Parts: sequence; structure tokens; C-alpha cells
Amino acid sequence: MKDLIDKYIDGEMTVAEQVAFEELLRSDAQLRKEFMFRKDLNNAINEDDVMNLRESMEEIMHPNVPKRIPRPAFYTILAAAMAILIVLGIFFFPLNQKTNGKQFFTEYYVTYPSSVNTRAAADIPDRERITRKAFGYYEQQEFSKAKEQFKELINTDKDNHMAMFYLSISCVELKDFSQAEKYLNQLIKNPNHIFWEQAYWYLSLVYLQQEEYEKAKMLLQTIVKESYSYALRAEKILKQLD
Amino acid sequence: MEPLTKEIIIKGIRNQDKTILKAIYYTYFPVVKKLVEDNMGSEDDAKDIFQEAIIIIYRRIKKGNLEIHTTFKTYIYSICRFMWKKELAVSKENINNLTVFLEYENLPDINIDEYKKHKQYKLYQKHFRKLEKGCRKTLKMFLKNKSLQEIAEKLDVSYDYIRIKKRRCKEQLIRYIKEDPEYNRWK
Repeated sequence: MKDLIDKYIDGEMTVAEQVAFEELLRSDAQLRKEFMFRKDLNNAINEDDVMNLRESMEEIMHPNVPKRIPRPAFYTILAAAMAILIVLGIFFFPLNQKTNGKQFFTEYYVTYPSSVNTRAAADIPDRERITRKAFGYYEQQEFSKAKEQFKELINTDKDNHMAMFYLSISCVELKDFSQAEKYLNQLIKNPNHIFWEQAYWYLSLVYLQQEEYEKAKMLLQTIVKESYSYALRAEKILKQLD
Repeated sequence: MEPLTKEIIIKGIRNQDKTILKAIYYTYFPVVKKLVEDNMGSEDDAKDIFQEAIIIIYRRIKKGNLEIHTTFKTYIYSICRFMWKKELAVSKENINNLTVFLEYENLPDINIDEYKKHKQYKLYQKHFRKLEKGCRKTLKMFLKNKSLQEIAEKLDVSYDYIRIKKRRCKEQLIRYIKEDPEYNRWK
């Protein structure tokens, strides 16, 4: 059904198919709703100007808040430093210098952005209160406090995949890689949640950090093969690993 | 600096001129902040509301249906007041004691459809921004009427790869949106 809608919106239908689809739209309210949603979504994504304006306003109103997106200057310097290292590496170790997984980790690891509104509000259920608290700590980069809150959420609901994912990222931030590995491994066992692809990627980075190349490779290969998020980056790393 | 006339304000918002936007913020935010803080909100709530009011005004300018018959202060205040009332209503808090300044009371509210659409778009854009960069790029290029073949060439990947990638990105975005509690509020 949704494939039909996208085909129609993307202009990939023949005229006859279009006519049939429009007929279907008139008779099926559910389909009509989904159709409107997807059309609006496309329009929304295309509103660069509005998104820019919102960003400008954010900058003006929150001048002191560090941006969630990592500081480009830092990464430029890092990249330059790494480029120099790599060049030096080529000069001094021309033969079969084993690639260092920790380098990949530093190059590719980025704290995953928080995804919950942390605004305080009165009269909300306990669980939501803890969720907001957890993400509040997470956003302020107080990862050990965040970790405790995420753990509490999992204690009350072991299927809280979001909490599990952010718990593992908090562990990475605290350099507790073996714990992170444990949680991420649990997340990739079951594909029915939205952090599935992210878990693959972060687990492969953790393996690289631990220099467990075979395990990392397997995950990266899956990411590429299945075109998960981060597939381009995974491909790059794989090329360098070989 | 020149005085902040309606004309300058409208031109500033239309052109997204940061100097003017800043001036608008410093001039008109205090009254909005007071409104929100007097009615169970925080300063950050007020900033959210103020920012969205500017965007609503921007969209009206773009559509050519902006008509300001009052001062700009009254105009933006009334939009913010409407929005804050709605925020309180959806969060099911007690809205009976919303203190409103009587002088603004007889201003027309925002059309509810316009507001709903605004909230929906905001939600969609919020999740779009969270997508991984490659996803954003792919979806954007596709919407700019680039064919999958062109995109594949530009990004130096195979056609099949980009076809699957586009679908995955889109479905991921849709999943994020539909899982957001806000989605059902403005459906």
C-alpha cells in the first residue's frame, strides 16, 4: 500500500496506474489519510527556508547552548592530525602496518543525539518523569547519572529498547566498553525496534575500539549488505580494514 | 539603529536577516515571556512559542496573506497567546486560569487548520533533522526531482543501493514520526 503511494507521489506510475490509484484514493479513507501524510511529509522536508529560519532563531535565542552537532572545528583539526599521522605512517611503516581500530573509533564515533523532550512539566507519570530526567542528564553529558536513570527504566520494562540504546551509548561515553558491548549485543538480537540499525553501527565501533576486528567486520558487512544507516561509512572502514 | 517599523520587521523576517531577527527578539520577547511564565510555563517554553510565532509569520509573508492591523507587538503577542493556550490544552492542564490581558481578547485567533499544519510540519522537520546525514541528502536530492540514477552517480554508489537506501530512509523517518506522541495530537 505505502509503496503504491510513494510510486504515485514520486511520479513512477503509468497513466493507467494513476487513474486506478486515484479511484482507490476516493474510495479508501485510510489510504487517503496515509497519502496526505506522505505528501505533507515531502513538502515539509523541502522547506529548507523554514528549517534555516528555525535554526537562526535557535542561535539567537540560545547563544550559550553548545550545539548538539559536534563542533566542526574540532573535527577538522582532528581530521588534519589524523591525515598527518596516516601520511607519516605510510612513510615509516610502508609494509602491512595493521590498521588501528581505535583510530576508526575516534574518527567515526559521535554521541548519538538525544531524542526526548526534556522540558519539565507537572503531573506526568513516573515513567515519563524518569525518562525526561535521564535524557536531561544525557544532554548535559552527565553520563553516569544518565546511566542510572536508563537502568531504572529497563528494570521496570525490560523491552524499553530506547533506554537500552541510550544506556549503551552512556557506557561508551564512560569508556565502559564491555558493558556497552553487552547492551548493544542484546539490541541486535531483535530487529523489532527503531534503534536496530544504530545498534549495529555503534556495536561495530565498539568492537573496533576493542580491536576485535573479525566481529567488527561481520557487523559492518551486514550494514553494507542491508543498506542500513551508516552504510557509506561502514563501506569506507571495511575498505581500509582489508 | 533604525526604529523597528512594521515594514522593516516584515522585510527582516522575509529575508531572514539575523540582525533584524535579533532586534525583534530583544524587543518583543519580554512580553511573551511574561505571558508564558505567568501561565505555568518556563522561559524555554516561551522561547519555543516565540520561535514558532516567527515561523508562522514567515509563512504568511511567503504566502502573501499577512495583514497586520495592529501594532506588531500586539500581533505577535496574540499569536503566542493562542499557541500557548493550545499547548496547555493538549497537555491537559488546567486552562481555566489562563490570565489574558483584556486588550488582546478580541483579536482573531489563528485558523486552527493553519496551526495544525504548522505543528505537523514542525514535527516532520524535527525528525528529518535527526536522520543520518546520508539519508537527509538522499531524500533531499530525490525531492529536488533528481532521478535515482543521477543520485547514484553523484554519490558514487550503485543504483540498487540508492534505491534501497531511499526507501529505508523514508520508512525510518516515517517510523520516527509515527512513534512520536506528538504525532497523534496533531493528526
